[in-house]
Amino acid sequence: MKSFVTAVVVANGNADELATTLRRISAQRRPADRILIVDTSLQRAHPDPESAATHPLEATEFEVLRCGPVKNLAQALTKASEHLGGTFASAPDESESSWLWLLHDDSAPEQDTLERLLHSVELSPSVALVGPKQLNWQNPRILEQVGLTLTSRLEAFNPARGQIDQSQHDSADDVLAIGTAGMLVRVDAYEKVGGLDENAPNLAADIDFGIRMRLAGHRVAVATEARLLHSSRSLAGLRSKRWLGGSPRTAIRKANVHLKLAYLPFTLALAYWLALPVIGILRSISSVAAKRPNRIWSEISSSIWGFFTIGKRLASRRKRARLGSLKLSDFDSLRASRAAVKQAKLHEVDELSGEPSSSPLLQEGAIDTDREAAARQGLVSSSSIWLAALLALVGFALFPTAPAATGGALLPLSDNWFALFAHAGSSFQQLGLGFAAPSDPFNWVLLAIGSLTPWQPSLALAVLLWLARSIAFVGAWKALSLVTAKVWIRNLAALAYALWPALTVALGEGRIGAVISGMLLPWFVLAVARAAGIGRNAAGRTQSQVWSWIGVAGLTLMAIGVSTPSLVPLLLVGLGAVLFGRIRRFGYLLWIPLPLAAALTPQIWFLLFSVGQPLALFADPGIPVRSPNHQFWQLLVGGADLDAGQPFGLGLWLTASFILLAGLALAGPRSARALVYWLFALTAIGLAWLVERIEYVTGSGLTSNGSPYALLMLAAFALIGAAAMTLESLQSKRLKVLLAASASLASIAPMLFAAAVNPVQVQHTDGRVVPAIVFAEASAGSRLKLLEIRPADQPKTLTAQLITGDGQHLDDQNLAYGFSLGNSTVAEELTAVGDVVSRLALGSNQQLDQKLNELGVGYILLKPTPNATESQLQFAQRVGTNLDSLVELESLGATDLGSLWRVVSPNTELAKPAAEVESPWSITKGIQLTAILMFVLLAIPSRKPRSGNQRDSDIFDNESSEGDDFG
Amino acid sequence: MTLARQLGSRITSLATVGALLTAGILLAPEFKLTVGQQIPASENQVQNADLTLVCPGAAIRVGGADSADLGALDQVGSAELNAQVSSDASEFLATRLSGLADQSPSELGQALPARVASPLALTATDEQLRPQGSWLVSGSQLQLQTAANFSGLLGAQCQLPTNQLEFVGGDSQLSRELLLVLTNPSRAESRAEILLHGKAGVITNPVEPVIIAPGKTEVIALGAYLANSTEVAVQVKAIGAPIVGWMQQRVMRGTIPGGSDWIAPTTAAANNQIVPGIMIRGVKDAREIINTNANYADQQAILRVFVPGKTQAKFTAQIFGATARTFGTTITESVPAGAVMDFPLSALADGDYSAFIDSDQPIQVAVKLPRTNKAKTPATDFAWLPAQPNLNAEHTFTVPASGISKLSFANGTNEAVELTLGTAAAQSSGVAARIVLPAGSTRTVELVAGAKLVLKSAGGVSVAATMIVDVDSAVAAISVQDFANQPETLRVSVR
Repeated sequence: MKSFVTAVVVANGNADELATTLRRISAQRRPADRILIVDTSLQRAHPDPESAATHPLEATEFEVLRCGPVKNLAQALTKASEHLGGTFASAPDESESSWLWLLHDDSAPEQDTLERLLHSVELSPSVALVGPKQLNWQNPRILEQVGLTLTSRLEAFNPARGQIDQSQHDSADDVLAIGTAGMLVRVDAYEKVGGLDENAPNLAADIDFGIRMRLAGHRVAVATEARLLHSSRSLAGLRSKRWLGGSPRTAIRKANVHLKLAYLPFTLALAYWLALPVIGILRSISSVAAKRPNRIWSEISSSIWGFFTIGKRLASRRKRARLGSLKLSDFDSLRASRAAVKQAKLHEVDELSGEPSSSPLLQEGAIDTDREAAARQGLVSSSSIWLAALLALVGFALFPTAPAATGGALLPLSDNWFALFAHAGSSFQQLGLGFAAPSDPFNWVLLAIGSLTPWQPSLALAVLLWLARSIAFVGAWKALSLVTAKVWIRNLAALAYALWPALTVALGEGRIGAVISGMLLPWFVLAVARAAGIGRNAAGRTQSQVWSWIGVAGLTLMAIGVSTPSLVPLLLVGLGAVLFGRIRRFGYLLWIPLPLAAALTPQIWFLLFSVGQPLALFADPGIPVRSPNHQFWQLLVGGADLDAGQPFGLGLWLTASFILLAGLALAGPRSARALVYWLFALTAIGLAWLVERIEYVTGSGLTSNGSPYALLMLAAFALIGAAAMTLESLQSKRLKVLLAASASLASIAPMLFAAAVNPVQVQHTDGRVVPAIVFAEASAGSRLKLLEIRPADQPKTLTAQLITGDGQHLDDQNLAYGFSLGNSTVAEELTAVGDVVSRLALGSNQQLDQKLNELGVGYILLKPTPNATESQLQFAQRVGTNLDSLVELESLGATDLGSLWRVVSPNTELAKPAAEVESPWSITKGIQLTAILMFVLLAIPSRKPRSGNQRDSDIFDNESSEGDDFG
Repeated sequence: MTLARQLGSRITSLATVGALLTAGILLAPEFKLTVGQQIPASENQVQNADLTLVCPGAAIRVGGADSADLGALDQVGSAELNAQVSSDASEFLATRLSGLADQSPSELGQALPARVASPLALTATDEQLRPQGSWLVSGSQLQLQTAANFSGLLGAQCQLPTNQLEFVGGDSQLSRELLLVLTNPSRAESRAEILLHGKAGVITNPVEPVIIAPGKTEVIALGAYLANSTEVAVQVKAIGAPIVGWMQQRVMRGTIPGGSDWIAPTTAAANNQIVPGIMIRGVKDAREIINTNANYADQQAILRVFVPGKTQAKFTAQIFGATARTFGTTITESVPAGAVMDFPLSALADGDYSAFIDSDQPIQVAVKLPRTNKAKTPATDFAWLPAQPNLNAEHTFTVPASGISKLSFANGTNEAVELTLGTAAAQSSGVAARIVLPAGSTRTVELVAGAKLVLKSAGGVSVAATMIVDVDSAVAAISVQDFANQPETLRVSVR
């Protein structure tokens, strides 16, 4: 019986490839008996007169059905069928000998494709659906498809896509399904199974159809001798999103969701449907961990789509159920094995090409793809790790002899991790009588640090202080690999950075914000450079590695920004320059400020709109500590007052040799680059000079100026980078030795000495900041407050603070509260506290019980004034005496933190544990934590280096890609 | 890149950095930008603790009734309480303190007792924010001891608790018993540090700090530390709760009691001191007795001067008589730093005097007022008159119901002071007695026993005063001080 073939070409506005397709159809050795072109494009429904002459559909001799936009391929075929009288058969009773040959506008058959397809069905009459071997349109040596199947997880799988065609799949015959491009299907079978499913998404329709053909008892095969070029425009994202119902990724994910809901056993399908929202979230997280953050939306939107279109999925299930007694499990042999899926994943190559920089600055030497062997030397293999150890040794004064560091700008952290967590990102502060304001973003950094030793969060902070120089050294050592490959230069420069006087002063005064920034700045620079492909060894980063560096850069920028907000403008400017200098990586680099933005936004909003103090945004978090106002030149040389008490009085000049070396870089071969370093350094120094002159008033009598030390560390890093450039550019070995020795003798050795002997205000304690009895009561659930009183500098003046029973920790500090003390609500509360304090101090007991109860005061601590004058001592004694004499109070005697009194009849409600535990969560906290965790997942390398011969900087290597990409 | 371009690039780089550095170093201006709002410390005017005055209670006897029980210490008899409480007081409470007994303090209620045996606290509350003082509550006590081993008239003004007590007076010679009596009326503990001074300065034999429990009284026999010392000054510093204190002096001359007295704290060290109430009586009798018995040698008026500072003080004491018939005397002497010295006022004849002492260094003074009457048995008594501060413009006090009470005024100012003295009713109706006291003068007026009087100073400038009570030739001095309890302003910076 002679076969009757109806060829249907579904065109979707793709003129060029459609012309080729039509030409190839015309040239078939065994031509189709009937050819219908279904034009689904919006434009062709209303042809443009100017382009009409050139469009293949205007010139074709074939019959064209202009049906306009359709939902999917199935609908296009339905319209075609209707156009042809309700069937693709030559006559209603000849459907057994009639065949439908379906072609896409981007699928060009070879001359003998139809002939070979028909030949294969002649040889195997049981085959009702056969498809050609699809080859890549642009490169016919690459396979596009040799049949489709399902993985064990019921996900669509194209086992051959992307492979070079070496006839390795030519033995394929029976398959579970084939793609719709070029498929030849017997019309009676097609009509029996109901054609393509209009409820199935486009990318699931072919597999679904194939499976249903199988379930109806027909064979589905691939005729590999029949070949077809397919450009897979849908998967390439070249078709409209309307056609696919989203991006290709979303379409693929929707296809998989459909297949699961349509083919899983009912109970499992139901469970899957119910779990879909959660699955969407988990898969989004998984995407981030796999360094595929661009899949987040696909995962979430597909899950939502699947959840809310369950009716259509059920309709598909009903369509399938009507076909007979065969089950999908009967065709397990045709499904992809796990090994095949794994193998296919390994073939996915995910390499970013090294694109040229659009910035002359970045091109000039900054991009050095010369992978020198020396650059691959690691910290350990180069023995530089011993220098880090030496720095830890030099910092012996900060060695944690007790769990918590305190003194200077430091306070211990909350004594338990949960309290630390509650303080991070919170919207209500337990300060004074309670205050609704965002917590300091710096608390996220403190939480991260405290989480390293969750049983005693302060311990991690103390250890971090001790190891700060070593961490800064390691960071600088690695970051300097961007400039030089020579280990000795990196050692020298990294030592200079770790010993830079600004860091020494910050460590001595416990300025934890500046210390953290000093430690992290080199890591941030390294991460940004790696993500942007700047510097030595920049080329050949995989997408996964880039995303990892983006994660690191985002997290370090956030940590630096919230620790020392004065650095944020300059870092953002720098990041902006990199972003526009590496415009091709704009899509990656743009994400770096996200965690910082998430962390800072609530505080920015509050300080701008509730307090009205824009400059307050740059105030340092934590305990305000005054720093001296330096002259510009003093800041240039390190901004440290190390000359006081140091031998020879040369403390200010310890950095001179490095600044000289940095200056020489301006006269070197890379003077333009050196100039940029210098401009960056001078801007940082200028900002440091400016910041020092801003007085921040955070409360009654608490005034401190901005801290310049973090900006000075940034300047130091730029200057040290320039100095390293000078050393790198030297040709004469003698001169190198001379300069290195001079720098070591003039700077490194004295800076080491200064670091070792510089006075340290930090002490180590057990971390308790309130008397033990108060702490014990608070731990038992009491919410009574502690009223701390201390004689102030002025006569007959007291400072007072109403704090929670567990005391004031570093994570309790709040800039928003400090800057809000002037507002009327807070001022009213302060007045009430001041009145009670006055009554207590003067021993006036009128209505005292009532007032103490109203404020929820349980204890009163009279703290000694550091370096108290005689009059302060006398005043304190008088206050103490008056407190002693009050019947409302009971003296508990002297404690290690001052004299303590207990309120005899405190507020009974507050003395009991709260009936309901206050939730530590808020919307802002959820958003901030999500952003941070996403970046943590990004930053974590997804796979270890494949061999031990990896360079140090390649801590993030190749990643695995997700397996659901198919074509 | 050509050599010229390279050179140009380098020169440009160097010049740019050089220019910026120079600009930064030379042109950076000094300024200060303040961000945030300075919140001034809140000023809170608060009433001090309720005005509480404490009376010492009955005289303290050592050794029991027959002086044989060495460890025995008790309060003997009871004292007459002469006190008043303003009707403006919103609350009043009389509390009997534990004193030397083991009992707990007990509230006696709102009624004033007539007599007191144990130390007594009088607490008055005024809810209005205004200065509190004698107008609100005042009181004194008087006790006549006539035992075979304990005689004399003991008078004391009820005191406001304080953390600093300074006594000038008493002696610890053989048969002279000098007790330091410290009472803690509060609910909190107090630790008293005691420093003794004698003729040679600080007594090197230190007194161990004394812990005074709430409501309790501690008695320190100073003789144990001041062996046979004729000149005594005592400084007490209370750490913790404020306390009240007196020294009780008892004199025995062989088996004959020679008098007794509560010695009240003196005023703070100053360059000018006034001691009113030197009412000399029985000079002739005293001389006769002294001439026949050396054991009575101390039965003469003396001026005692203590220099608490570190520099020797040179002082001039002018003793002015109250009338034209009583001539005073003048003493100009020096006292080494830290030392206590006595200067006899033997030149004074019977009459009423006041002492005005000017010094080049801050000093503290007191006058011992002897009383001798050969016709009585025992024939002697004495009273220590501490220096008195100037009174406020208005002072309320109660005249003891017993004996003859006289009020001695001394005007230490440079201008005449006009006073009115009378009951509250007399004061309001304008019929109170008018007294004009010229600058540097003294005057004595006799008071009606038991009267509740108000002393007013018309011009706001007031005088120092002491009340001298005579009961059957025994004498006692009752300080007339206004224990002001001012509202105070405290500044508080709340963070």
